[in-house]
Amino acid sequence: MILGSFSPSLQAFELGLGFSAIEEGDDRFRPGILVDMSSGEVWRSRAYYYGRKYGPITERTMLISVYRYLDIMRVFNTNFLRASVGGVVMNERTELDFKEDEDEVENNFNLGATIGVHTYIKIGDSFFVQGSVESHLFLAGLGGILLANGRKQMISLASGAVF
Amino acid sequence: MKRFLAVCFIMCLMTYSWPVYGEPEDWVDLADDDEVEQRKREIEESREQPENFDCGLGNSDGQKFNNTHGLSLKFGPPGAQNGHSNPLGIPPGIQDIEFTYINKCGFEGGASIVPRITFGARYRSGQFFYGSVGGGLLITANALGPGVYSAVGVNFVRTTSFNFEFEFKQGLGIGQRYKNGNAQIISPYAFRFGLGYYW
Repeated sequence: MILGSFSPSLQAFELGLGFSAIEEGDDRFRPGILVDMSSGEVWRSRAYYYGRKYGPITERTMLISVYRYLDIMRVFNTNFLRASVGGVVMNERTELDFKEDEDEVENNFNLGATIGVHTYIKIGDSFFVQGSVESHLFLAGLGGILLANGRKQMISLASGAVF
Repeated sequence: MKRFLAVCFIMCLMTYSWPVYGEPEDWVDLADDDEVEQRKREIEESREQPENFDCGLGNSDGQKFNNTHGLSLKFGPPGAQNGHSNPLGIPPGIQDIEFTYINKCGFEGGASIVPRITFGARYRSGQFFYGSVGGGLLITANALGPGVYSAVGVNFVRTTSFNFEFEFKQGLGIGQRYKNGNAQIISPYAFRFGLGYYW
């Protein structure tokens, strides 16, 4: 019964903001922000942004993912947990700001898959809170034939409004 | 006369010493038509609808794989938070191997070097996708500890007893560092494919 209260139906359009702890395979978590959008009950979209500046180097990373809920985690026959699969596009931008020499900017785009687990809680009729653990997988070039991959994991909490 | 009496005596002895297999009312009555018909109906019904073994988890959608035992062997590189995963070894190294057992209820138990020992429940929806959640003992390159896990998998190239599986499993837990014993969040993962046998 308690878990059943976490099974609301999604409204037409949802927009939310949140923050996430991002791990890039190096056993360190770094903060990031996210924007969460949904226009239906099945498909959802997210954008992550994080970065750091050290000395003349500025790193900025942005990921945009589109994923679909799968009804494959009906714990105790509820929608308390929702699994998702989808695709993601990432841009890792590195800016070199030298005072004497010409500045350099490098953009690296990558296409990958996103797999995640979410829990969705509706507050009243107009607000929602969603917690997520997502893994964004990117195959490592030709090593991807043998499943070598890089992962960016996001542990996120987002809240927003339902329109 | 004496011979007649002797024969009678002998016959009496044979009658009372002859092996007796119980009285007629003790024999099993196999000729009850109503019971036979009821038993026939039960057999026909069991053949039409396989018994549901969801064991209260609500994870069975009537697919055959939910009503059978299964054992899968999967290969693939894990990620232990010490840099990204390496390519799958040829032949696969011990860190690339994972065994998973699924029982009729849909409970599953997995064993591998990374993410380690897991126990949970598998849920299915449709013909291809399945998901698993549960907990267990997780390990990374720097720490070991308890946690929860989730997995998303795809079944394809299926026969009656065999099927290929692609699965991504990720764990999240709190571990104790080997060096100084401090607690930290650990999140190992593995991306594997393999063969499952169901009986």
